[in-house]
Amino acid sequence: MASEALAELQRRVSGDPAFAQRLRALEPERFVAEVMRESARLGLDVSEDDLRGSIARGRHAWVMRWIR
Amino acid sequence: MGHALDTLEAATLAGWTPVHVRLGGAAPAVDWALIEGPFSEPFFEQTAQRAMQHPFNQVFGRTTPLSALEALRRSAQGLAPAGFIFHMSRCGSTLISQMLAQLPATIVLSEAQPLDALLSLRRRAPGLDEETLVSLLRDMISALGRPRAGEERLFVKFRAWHILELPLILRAFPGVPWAFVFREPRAVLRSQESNPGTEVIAGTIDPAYLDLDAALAYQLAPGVYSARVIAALCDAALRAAAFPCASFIDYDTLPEGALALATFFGIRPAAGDVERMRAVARNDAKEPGRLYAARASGEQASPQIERCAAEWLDERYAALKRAAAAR
Repeated sequence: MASEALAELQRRVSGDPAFAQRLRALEPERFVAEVMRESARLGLDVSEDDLRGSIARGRHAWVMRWIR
Repeated sequence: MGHALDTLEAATLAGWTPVHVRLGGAAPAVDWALIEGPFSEPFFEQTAQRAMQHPFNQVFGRTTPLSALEALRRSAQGLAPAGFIFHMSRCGSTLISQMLAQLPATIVLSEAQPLDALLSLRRRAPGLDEETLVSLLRDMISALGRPRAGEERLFVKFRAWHILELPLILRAFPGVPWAFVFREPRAVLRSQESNPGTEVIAGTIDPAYLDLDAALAYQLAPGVYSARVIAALCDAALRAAAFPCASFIDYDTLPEGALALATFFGIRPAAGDVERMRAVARNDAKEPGRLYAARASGEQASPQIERCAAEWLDERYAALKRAAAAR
């Protein structure tokens, strides 16, 4: 499950298309570090483990899409 | 994609594209992603796959109920479709869609799963009334067809079985010109035999469409079943052959037939567009970058294919040729 901080970040990204586009434009290699920096700027304590876990869950959900 | 359904504010979906509709839960749900660049892959599923490789969509991808689509259409209408492409499978329709994608300011939606999922709701949710399905189709095509980089024109290429829902689709989009692409049946059956598409796997299409008993569908030899499915697709197109919005494109006329189709869809391609369209036609439509290698036309059909074509498809093929010639 996402941490409260990550869930709050997801809510903010969902509510702000410009913010979402900015994060989408990040190079995949720099994504985790940059999102952690953005989170800190917003006062949210999103950890690297939060993000890596969320990436893994997202990848799994996409692969499993045909049976969910 | 993991977080819960959003309380939707349609404005927040600006820039987001529906990439998948899930039907397995208590209620259908739409997965959304931010897609960078045009839908340039031969199939929308490949575009969605590309988008979903980016960690942003893995962490921040959104999921909404279907009702989000209607809210979005009210706040941000997508392009009205300029033309629909239907086909009997394995007949050059992907080439046509790739050629049309060369036109400037054009979106081509090629066999998008979200549309397939909605069209399959009639079978999966029998209580759903036709009016709701019509609205959902309009909402989904609007959501998928929102301009993302100044596009002005939208074409939709459907999956082969979707021609069976032509009346519903035309009810949602009356007056939109459409084409049915067809090919000599032995070539289609040979291709389906060596690499079967989902449409010819028994059980994927409601047997009622095929005038078949459900149990019998599973008992037929695969080649016979394929022939009966393709026959039903041809019949659905032929039933609408007299419609003024209908056009029939013979594989044998490609690539020039695709240029004629562009004209039928109301476009006069510029010289540079025609050059790009012809250049694309030299490649394998399903594997861009690889030169197209046509199979020898004189290749002998197996006795079973010969039998199936003669019994189920030759007359229909002749009728399709007549419909094409009448245009």
